[in-house]
Amino acid sequence: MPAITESEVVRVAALMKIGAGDAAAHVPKVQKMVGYFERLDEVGLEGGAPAGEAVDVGDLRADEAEECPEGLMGHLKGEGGEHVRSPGLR
Amino acid sequence: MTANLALGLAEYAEGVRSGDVSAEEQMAATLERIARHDGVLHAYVSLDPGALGEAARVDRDARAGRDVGPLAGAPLAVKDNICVSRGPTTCCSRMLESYRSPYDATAVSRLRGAGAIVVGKTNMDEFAMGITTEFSSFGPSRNPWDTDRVPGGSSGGSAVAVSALECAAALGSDTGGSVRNPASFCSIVGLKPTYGRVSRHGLVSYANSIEQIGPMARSVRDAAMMMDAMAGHDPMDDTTRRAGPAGGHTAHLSDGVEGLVVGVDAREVDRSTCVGRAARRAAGALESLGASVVDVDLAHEGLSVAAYYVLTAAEAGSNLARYDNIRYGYDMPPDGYEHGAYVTAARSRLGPEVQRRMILGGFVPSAGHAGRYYLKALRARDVLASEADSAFSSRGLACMLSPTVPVPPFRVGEKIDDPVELFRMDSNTVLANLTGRPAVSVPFTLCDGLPVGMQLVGRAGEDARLLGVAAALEGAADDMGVPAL
Repeated sequence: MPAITESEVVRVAALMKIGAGDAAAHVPKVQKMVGYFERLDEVGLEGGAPAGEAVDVGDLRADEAEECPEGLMGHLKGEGGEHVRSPGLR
Repeated sequence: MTANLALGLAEYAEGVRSGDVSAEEQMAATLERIARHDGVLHAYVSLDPGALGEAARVDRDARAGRDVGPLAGAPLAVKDNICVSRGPTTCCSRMLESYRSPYDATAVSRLRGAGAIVVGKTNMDEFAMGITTEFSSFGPSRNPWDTDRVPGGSSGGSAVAVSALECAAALGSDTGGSVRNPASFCSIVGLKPTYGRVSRHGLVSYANSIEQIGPMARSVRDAAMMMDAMAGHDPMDDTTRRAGPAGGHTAHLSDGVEGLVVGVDAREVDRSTCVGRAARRAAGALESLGASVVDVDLAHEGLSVAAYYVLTAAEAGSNLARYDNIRYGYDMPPDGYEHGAYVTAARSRLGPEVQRRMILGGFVPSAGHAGRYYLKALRARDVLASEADSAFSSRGLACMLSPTVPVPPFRVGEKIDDPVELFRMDSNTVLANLTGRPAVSVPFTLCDGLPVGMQLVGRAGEDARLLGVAAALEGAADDMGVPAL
């Protein structure tokens, strides 16, 4: 039994907004990759949450809005640098 | 004046300042060499049409006695996932084919400030997901030492450009070895700095928690000079450190290795391959220069590649969510589409490796699977960091030595269909990324005419001292010259 089934690959691909046709083509390689990850079972999860690095808030830059660079909209897909068109949400 | 494209950065700048080197002639010769060879090598995906004019300006400034900077006029290649304000930044993806950044990445602006001139953007695996450049949407780069072979990746185009004298130096980015792997395959120097040493502002994100921009150059000194120009705190990247090395990154280049302790992984140097023999010879060379060489074994190193791919997939899944083709992307009108269907249709143009990483990135941190993969990968990263810290402190290591890649450059297409075989190419490089340590690949020898580099992994924050060991190893390496094109 592979570590991830074909139907799981297709389901996750749909969540990531990758089409079913594309997803099906990836099944053998994705199964092989996830199978390789199984070796992580060698480590346990006891001992609490994984460590992170604490950063002092004073070391972060000020939480202030900055003006966008001149002409920024011109670098995006848009209509005359004024608007970006998006498909409708349902 | 005759252009000399093999000049080191220090000689280059000094020549420009004194008038012995013309930046304009050097740039013209660089562009001519690109025109002659890049049809085959495919190091570049775009060139900056203003580069020649900038070089002429540098010459004028030098003649007028103005400060032209420590990298005056040097043609610099920039990996195509690092933003420049002139020309495209595509990450070698169709999704960003028409994207133009409004700003320079901090590393680029600092190198420009030091006098370097961006000559163009270099080929890479799409969104840096790969180790050969075969996953570039614009076709693979070719290794200048044997054009039937891959140059490594994902910063393969930058390595090819440096190796083939199509620039003086280059920028790459290193998430799991993407600077060091191609540096080894193309016989150049590549440094992955300590995490936080170089600003990631303007680097298109793949796996933010481990990736770094790094220099790719023809000598350790050149790499150190680039670090002096671009490293340091940047308010636009709060992960950058404030403290830098006293005396800069060139301070220890002449220190040698007398009295230092170098760790080697016995499994790597005992291999009966040409690469294994080269590693033994490199360890012996450091020993003959006065270093002590000791065996080091990290008990869980065999988990590093799996942990790396799980963590990077999870971060990539999040970072790539922004590519919905709405704010930037290719020309596909939204009329008649519902939002989700539109994004799905647009993502069908992402390359196969990027789609696979997105699927993995959705799977490994998901409910029901996170405990099995993502949390265990985070735990493995902690365990590896602890084991490496312990080895460095208990043995008094200055650095650890291994081959950068376990094999010499392989043929184009040879491994592309086997993802796990490609994973194994990262087995020596990912530890430095997972633990935040600096690591450098130094050209050492040729195996059957193909380049083999040695990797040195150092103490976090001690990039300058690591470069000192690298300079000693560089001095003991074979003289490989440049590839015959």
